[in-house]
Amino acid sequence: MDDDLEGLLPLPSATFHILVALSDADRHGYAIMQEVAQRTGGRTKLNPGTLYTTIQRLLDKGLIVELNERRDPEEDDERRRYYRLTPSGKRVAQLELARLTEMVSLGRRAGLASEEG
Amino acid sequence: MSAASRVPVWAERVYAALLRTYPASFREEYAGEMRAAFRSRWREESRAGGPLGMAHLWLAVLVDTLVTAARTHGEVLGRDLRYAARSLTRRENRSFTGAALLTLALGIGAVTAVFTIVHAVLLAPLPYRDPGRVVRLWETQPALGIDDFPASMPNFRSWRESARGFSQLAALREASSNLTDGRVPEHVTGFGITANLWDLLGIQPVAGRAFTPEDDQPGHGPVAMISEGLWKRRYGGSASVLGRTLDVNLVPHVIVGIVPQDVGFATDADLWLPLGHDPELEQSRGDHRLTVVGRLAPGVALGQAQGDLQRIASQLEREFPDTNKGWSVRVAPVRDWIVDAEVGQRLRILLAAVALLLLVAATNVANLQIARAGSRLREIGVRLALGASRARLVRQMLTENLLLATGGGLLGLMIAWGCVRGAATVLPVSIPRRDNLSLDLPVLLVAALCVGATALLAGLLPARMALRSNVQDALQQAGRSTTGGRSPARHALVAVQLALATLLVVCAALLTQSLVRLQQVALGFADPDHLLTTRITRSDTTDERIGDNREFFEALVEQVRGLPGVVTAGVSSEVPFGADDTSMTILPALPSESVPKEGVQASWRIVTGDYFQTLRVPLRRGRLFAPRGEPRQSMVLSEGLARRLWPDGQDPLGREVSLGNGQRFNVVGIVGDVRQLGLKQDPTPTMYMSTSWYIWPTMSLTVRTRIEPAALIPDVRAAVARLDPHQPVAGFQTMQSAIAANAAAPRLNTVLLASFAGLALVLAAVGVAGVVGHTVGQRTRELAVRLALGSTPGQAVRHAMRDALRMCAVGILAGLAAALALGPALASVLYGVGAYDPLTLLLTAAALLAAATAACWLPARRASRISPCVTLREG
Repeated sequence: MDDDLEGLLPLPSATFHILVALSDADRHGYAIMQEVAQRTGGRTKLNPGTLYTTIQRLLDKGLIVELNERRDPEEDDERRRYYRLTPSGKRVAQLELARLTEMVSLGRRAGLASEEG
Repeated sequence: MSAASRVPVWAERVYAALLRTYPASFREEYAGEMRAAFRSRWREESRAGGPLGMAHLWLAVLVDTLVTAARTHGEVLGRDLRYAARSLTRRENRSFTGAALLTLALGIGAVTAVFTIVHAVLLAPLPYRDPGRVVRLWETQPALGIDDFPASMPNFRSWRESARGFSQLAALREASSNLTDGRVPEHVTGFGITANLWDLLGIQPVAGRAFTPEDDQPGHGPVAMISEGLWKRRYGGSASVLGRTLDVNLVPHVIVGIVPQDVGFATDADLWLPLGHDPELEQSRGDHRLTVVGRLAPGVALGQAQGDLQRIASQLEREFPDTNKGWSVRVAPVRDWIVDAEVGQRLRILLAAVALLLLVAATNVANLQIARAGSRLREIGVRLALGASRARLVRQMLTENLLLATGGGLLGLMIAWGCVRGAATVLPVSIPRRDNLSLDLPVLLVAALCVGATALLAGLLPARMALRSNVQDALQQAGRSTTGGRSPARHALVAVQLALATLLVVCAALLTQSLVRLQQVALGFADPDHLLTTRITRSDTTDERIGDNREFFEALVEQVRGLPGVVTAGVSSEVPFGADDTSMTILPALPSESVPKEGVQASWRIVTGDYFQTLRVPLRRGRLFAPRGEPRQSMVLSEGLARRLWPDGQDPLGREVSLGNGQRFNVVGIVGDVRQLGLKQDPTPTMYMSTSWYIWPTMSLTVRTRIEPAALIPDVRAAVARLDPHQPVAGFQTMQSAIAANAAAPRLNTVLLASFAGLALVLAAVGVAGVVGHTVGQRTRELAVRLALGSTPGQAVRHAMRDALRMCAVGILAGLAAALALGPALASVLYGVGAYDPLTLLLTAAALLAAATAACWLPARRASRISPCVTLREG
């Protein structure tokens, strides 16, 4: 199964951000945007187009699932669709993380980190 | 929530408009969520970002929406294409896919191939600067029915001085010559031109310089420009050729420049000389020999320029009534001169015919699709039930047709490519610019347009039909073996197909009859299968050498007549079916009331007496020219001309006639009428002068042979060489091939149109058979009930055929009506048969009805073999 999932790598950064944002809680679209902005200190702001076309692709590939609509008590009283990470989604995020970690250590071994740092 | 954080209506609307760029299926799913997310971000920015933040938000949202919408469209298309490809290549669909691909490839290929020719000949810009401003000027004499005559030099000079509507006027005349320096002499096509021609057209020399006005002055050293082709052929493209001398008709000329091979109006010209100063041409306003072209002055319309010239022509008429009375001027786009009106019309008819063929092909595919849709109802029903939107299904069906049409289009392009490669050799020489055929961008765009239009045509109707029924109907009907039976849309398509096929078949039948009649016309001379002609240009063109030239041609006739296999030979200034004509007005010297006072415009030819015997033009009265010692003023008339000069039946023999140039002649003989100009043109009234009167440096030799004429070419060449080893001989042609070339354009048109019509008829018949077969299949139960209730098998068959046959009849009638409406467009290319020929229309209708009946009957026969017991028990 990992072979199939590895075919999806490398993930576009928006995809990885969304998977990470869903890793600890079910969230609706706007909450994902907020979570990503918060985790990146405001450096990454997803726009609705990127967010929902990515969500559609993740749903198609079975990396996330859609939950029933419900209200978001914190935001306002609009009904929102919530999304949840599937085991495959979680695995893909882990694989991507491993890939990125390897890249980072590769860079470090080449001595690039100290030059920058 | 504060008022400031509420999203204004306009922002909601703008965002909603942006969302419309996404595919409908995506919008249905996510538009609501996206609007909510947008609102949230809007509020956030309005709280924190200020105006700059808002601007940033809008920009980010705009770019994000457009990029992701494009990507989503791409993904949907990709999915649809994969689905369509899987569906089309499934085993049960392969015969459908193959038939549809072949049909579309033939249709699109035919349209593309024909459009390539139409584009090269009629549409592609000529190789001039701002070609739309270049015009041709003709002299006209309405009273004599002349509307495209060359101009005389003095008239050209008067126009050039007084006309205000042109920035430039230039003139040229044919000046084919012999290149006589050193090596074997070569005959080349050439033109004498005014120095400004290249500047007027906007053609730059490939190397060297163009002519200057000084080159035209009397006494200036002779100069020449040569074509790119001659430059490469004779000089290997060497730059050192500039400044070298080239002997043209024995006179050394300095080569000053190289001209591109394609100058728009002549691609075979190799030699360009200054028009120069010809005292004979300068004098007579009545001697019309110049081709005049002009460039319209900035801001001047063609009509204004024409009005201006007509004013000058009227002035000249008053000043020089002897030569200019009744003469006016006509201005037309230069393409009207380069492309003959009939050639243009033939090409347009051909293009219309292939467009109709493509329409028949697309209709056929639509029909096949509807038949398929019937059996796909279940699949469609299931997908609708699973929540697919109708728009989504329509899009998918259109994608499938787009895929089919693109495949057909690619195959069609390959067909067109093959046709275009072969076309240059097959196309008749009467089609100008046929060397410029290529599948270039405009042609590819038209092919793409055909693909798109066919996909829509063949896809929309079946898609709409398939989706009209609701989910439940679709699922229920698919389960049964009888699905309604009658299919009005398919019947309507059958009617359309037959109408189009009828139209094409009528056109093909009319053109075929024209061609047959064209080949049966009386030529006015006998046995063209044993005639050989060649054109010989003497290098010494001066009038002092005219006696020598006459001796040469007389000796040549003697020599050739002595060759084994030759019956007789003669010399003439032009031959029938040659390229050119010379004509003048003629009048009886004694004024007569029954002849218009401006005279009769008649062709004139200089001939030896044995020319008539060689062609076997019958002598009606009097005598032919004597071989030697014929009085200079003797003239032989064609009987048609004699009838027009003396309509009251007086004997023309011994009478005097006077010509437009003032000379007088005595009529010594009357010969039969000859088709001089072509099969389609009626025999021209013709006067024949003897070579004892005058002889041109260029004359045609005609030889009547006992054997295959082409076999004599080496012997004739050797006979010429014995008389003058430096005399080039070019352009041998058998009379049969000249006649064939004359009919080549109509023949090609007829053959192509007949093939298109045949193809359309086959497609229509297949369409009809398909519909009837489908009907019988769908209505098996109903027919079984009828048989059980006492219908005879014959009645059952008739019943199965009834609806389709009725639609066929409607289609055929509509096709006939369309043929009647389009008659005038066809009339100009028909010969000897009217566009409304009732017999042709009736026979075509009968033939089509017979074909339609056969196409209905073959599949309908199955109805008679239905076994009521078995069908009803199983049903």
